[in-house]
Amino acid sequence: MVTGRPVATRKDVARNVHLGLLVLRGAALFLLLTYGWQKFWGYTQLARAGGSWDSAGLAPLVRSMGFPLPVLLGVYATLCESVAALFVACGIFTRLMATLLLFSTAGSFYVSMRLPEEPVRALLYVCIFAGLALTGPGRFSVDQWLCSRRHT
Amino acid sequence: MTRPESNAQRRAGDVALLVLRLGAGLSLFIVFGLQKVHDLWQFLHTGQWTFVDFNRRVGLPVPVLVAVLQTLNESVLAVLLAVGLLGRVPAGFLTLGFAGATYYSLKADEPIWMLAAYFFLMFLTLLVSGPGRFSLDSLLRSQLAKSKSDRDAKASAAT
Repeated sequence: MVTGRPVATRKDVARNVHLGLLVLRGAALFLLLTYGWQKFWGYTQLARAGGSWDSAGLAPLVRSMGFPLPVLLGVYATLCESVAALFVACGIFTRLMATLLLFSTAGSFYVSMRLPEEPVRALLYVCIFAGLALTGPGRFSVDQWLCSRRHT
Repeated sequence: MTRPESNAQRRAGDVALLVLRLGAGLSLFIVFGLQKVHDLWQFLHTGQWTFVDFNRRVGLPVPVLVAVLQTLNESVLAVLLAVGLLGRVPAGFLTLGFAGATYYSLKADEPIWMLAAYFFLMFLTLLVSGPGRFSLDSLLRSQLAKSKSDRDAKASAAT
């Protein structure tokens, strides 16, 4: 917007972006609480009961989409939506975790496009994790705190 | 102590804001905004709109006005946000709109509340961060600054 107001300093802009990234990382926490935890718990129960991993969890869906290694991909997606989402929310190894989540959610987007399902949510995940993979976690994160401790 | 940001980091931040703006703004406009504009057009002719009925059901005051404002939010403001025009204004209105959408969808036990919550988080991020450098605002500002400096240079050459 072109206004007569004084232009914000570079420092102000940077602080706002860091705050914005903190809010955006809240989306990862939301993913963990709404889907990730449930899937993770499902796999934990399966491991305890000693059931077949081939016909449980996400594996049948992954197989029906024609992806290779359905069990492995199912576990990968579950770990992404639970463990990686928690790491992103806290800002730990954020770029790596966000990249893993980016691939996982891109797969979800593909699946929801092929199924008669709402694809917008998966598309939003892709945008969110692509953004976080590009920027990193920002100042308000465990990564940044550890980094600043190393430099003091 | 925090390290100063490099140019590459700043550029990455601006690219991320562009991705968020385009992802949230365009998907909202294409998937929901266009449909709502179509429904509004039908409403003007038939007086029937399921969105108004929903607003009435969840007890929103002035249900027609709310429906029209949310339609403007999801069409005009979504496009303005995507292209990065008017600074934080579209993000502000969209954040407000989707805070309401999340609350009332939850209240009505509609499963779409989760999608509304994601939109809310993304718009809140853009409200806090601003549109970034890769936006029409930024382009207009630099054009304006360039034309001003050209004018000043001409004026100083003339004197």
